[in-house]
Amino acid sequence: MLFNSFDFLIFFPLVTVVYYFLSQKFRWLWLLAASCYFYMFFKPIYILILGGTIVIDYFVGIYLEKFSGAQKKLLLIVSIIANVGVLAVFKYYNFFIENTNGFLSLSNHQLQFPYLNILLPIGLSFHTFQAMSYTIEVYRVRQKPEKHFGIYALYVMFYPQLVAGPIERPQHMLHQFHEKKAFNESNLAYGLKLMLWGFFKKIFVADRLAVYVGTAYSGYTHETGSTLLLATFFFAIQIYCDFSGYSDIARGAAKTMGYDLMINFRRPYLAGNISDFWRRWHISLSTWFRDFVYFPLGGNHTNTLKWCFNLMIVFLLSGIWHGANYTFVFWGFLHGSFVVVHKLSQRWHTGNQKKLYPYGAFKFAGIVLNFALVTFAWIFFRAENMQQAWDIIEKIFTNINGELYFKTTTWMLVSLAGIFIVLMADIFEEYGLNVQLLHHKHLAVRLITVSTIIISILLFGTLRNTSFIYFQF
Amino acid sequence: MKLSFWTKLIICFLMLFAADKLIGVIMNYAVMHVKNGSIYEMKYKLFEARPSIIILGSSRANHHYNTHLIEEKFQKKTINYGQDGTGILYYFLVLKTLMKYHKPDMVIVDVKPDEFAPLPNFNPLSTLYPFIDKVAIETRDLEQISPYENLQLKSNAYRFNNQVIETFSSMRGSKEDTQSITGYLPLPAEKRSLKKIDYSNTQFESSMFSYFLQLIELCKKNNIKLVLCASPYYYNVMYDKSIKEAEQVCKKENIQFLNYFNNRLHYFPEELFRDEGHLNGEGADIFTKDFLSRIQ
Repeated sequence: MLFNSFDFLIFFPLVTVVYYFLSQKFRWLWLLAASCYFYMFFKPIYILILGGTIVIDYFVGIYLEKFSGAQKKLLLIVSIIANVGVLAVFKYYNFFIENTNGFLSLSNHQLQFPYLNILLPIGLSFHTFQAMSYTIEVYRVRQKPEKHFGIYALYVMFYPQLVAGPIERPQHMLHQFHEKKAFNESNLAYGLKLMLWGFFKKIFVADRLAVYVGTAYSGYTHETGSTLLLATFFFAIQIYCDFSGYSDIARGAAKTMGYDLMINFRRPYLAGNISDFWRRWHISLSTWFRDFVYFPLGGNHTNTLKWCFNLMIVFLLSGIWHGANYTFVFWGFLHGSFVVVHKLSQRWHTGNQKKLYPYGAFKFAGIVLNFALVTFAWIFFRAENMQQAWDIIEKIFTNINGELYFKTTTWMLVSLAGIFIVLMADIFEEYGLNVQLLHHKHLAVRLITVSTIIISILLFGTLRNTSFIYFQF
Repeated sequence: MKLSFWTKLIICFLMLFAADKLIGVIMNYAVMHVKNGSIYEMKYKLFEARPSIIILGSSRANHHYNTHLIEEKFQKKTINYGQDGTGILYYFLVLKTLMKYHKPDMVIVDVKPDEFAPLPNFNPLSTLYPFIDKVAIETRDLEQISPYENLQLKSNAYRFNNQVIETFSSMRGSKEDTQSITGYLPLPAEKRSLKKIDYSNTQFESSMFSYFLQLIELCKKNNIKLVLCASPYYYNVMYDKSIKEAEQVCKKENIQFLNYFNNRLHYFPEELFRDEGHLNGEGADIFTKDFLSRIQ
């Protein structure tokens, strides 16, 4: 089920209201049933895959506590193979076969392996990583195994974060499902406002920009460099509003029932450098890679060369996590390179920055440069293949004076207004300016703001039930 | 006085209700007073034009049938109702609405390679919503869009989604500022992409096909001449079920079906196309002339 569908407008209040009417004993069952229904809206049969990995991980968790040494390690491997195996089959098999067949053709072999004609289960990478974080943490004895099968299943399937995160950790979520959540007006109000803001970002801004980006990128061969540059800028905003909008709706929906999900975005485009960007963008994934890949590889407690290698591994894996395509791998490689260069230059520069530049100007230049780098990398993320990405880059740098594709003045004005509102909201929050209209001390201001946002979405939003970009991962 | 959450929620709903009603009053007034632009064009074409020959279809109809050439040949007022991103559901409702006020002599329907495919994820009826009280839409038609569409249309803000600025900016100026009052919009010669799309596996939606049968029935009942045409497409079209089914029905009902797909009736080289599915202005003129020479 899509958050931005009318079905969800019925599903959400129904689930929340019934949840509060039920006794604590049955709430997990209600939430689990609702989550299954939510997931089965996409492709019902795929719930069996999810169910299968949940059963395996649940029992692995139980037995991890009982075993030690090689047996314990073996159990963890079983869990990882089960989870990564599902990912490998559904997400990476065809990519692997395509490359193998390509290699075989190049070396004049007749042998060609068949492709699998299957659809990728929605949100597969998200719930797989969430499930793995549980078994790894139980293995590390940093989390007690969950004895209640229903609660464990709910940890993986909790509907607000089931298909696009945030990728939660067992330490943060499991205990919340055991706690009795009393009805709390401020939780409900806060959650609803967070959802409303998420809907604004998705429906008013992201889906509107998606139309321009889609047109420019699909017909890139006939578009000018200036159009493609604007489309790339719009994509940077679109993906931020789309994904952070989803995260806000997810966090808000969970909050209405008293559950706290982790913050996934902290105004990433106001980051002064690329490392800072990764502390603000898709935080639940970057911290996952930090805790379960980067630290075990040795992190920065090693020599410079190994440290850079560790960083590159993390970012390449992050790229592959997004999709089985060289564009994502290269996107990861670019970000890895940016981070390595930044970390190395940081060592060299330490202490000199403030002496050389006035702080404000330096920070602003950093934000602009960082945004430019991140936006450049988005070209690879958005392009369908490497050739398209290179062609678009070539056009941007060689055909910048060409005619700009301009949908309509109305469209452009509403789009720019949406971008401006989101940017201002981020700036106010970043610099602690108390202009939060949704949480204003005066009731009238809050009510007018809520009504204005709802009416704006209805009047100017793209009401098409468009899927979220990160659903495909 | 501290208000409870529920009281605040009720106040918020009341504010939204009042704002929505106000939007309805203002927008209905504005729509009735538009003087140009696409909303004026729609209002004119649906309720004022009263043409003898009408062209129905998607963007391909809109860009392929030169109304001036058709008017010249038949000496009858011709209006092109082709609309971007629409299909059978939209133009059947347009025809039904027109029939409420006036009976045309001839209906030309342009069919796409995927005419009876499931509806796209955007709403093909949204341009009719400003006139919802006057157009011939029934609940079952709205349910094709979504089971909740009828309910959503209770909101005036939803009804005028993405039409506010354009409506107000169209209240000034004159009818002559409208891009094309006859509906025909030639495309420029500058080429866009030529993407190859395989239609052979397009899903066949029987409810859309039933609208096609209703359209034939409506024309038959009112003694209106009906001509079907699959206008040129750049690539060879691997037929899906929809075109074959339409051809069979036309044969049975003795309706002329001119099929230009795969250069069957006339050769259209690459330079006459704007993109894979649309002829440019020059191509449209050549096509319209050829089409007119074949109408029986």
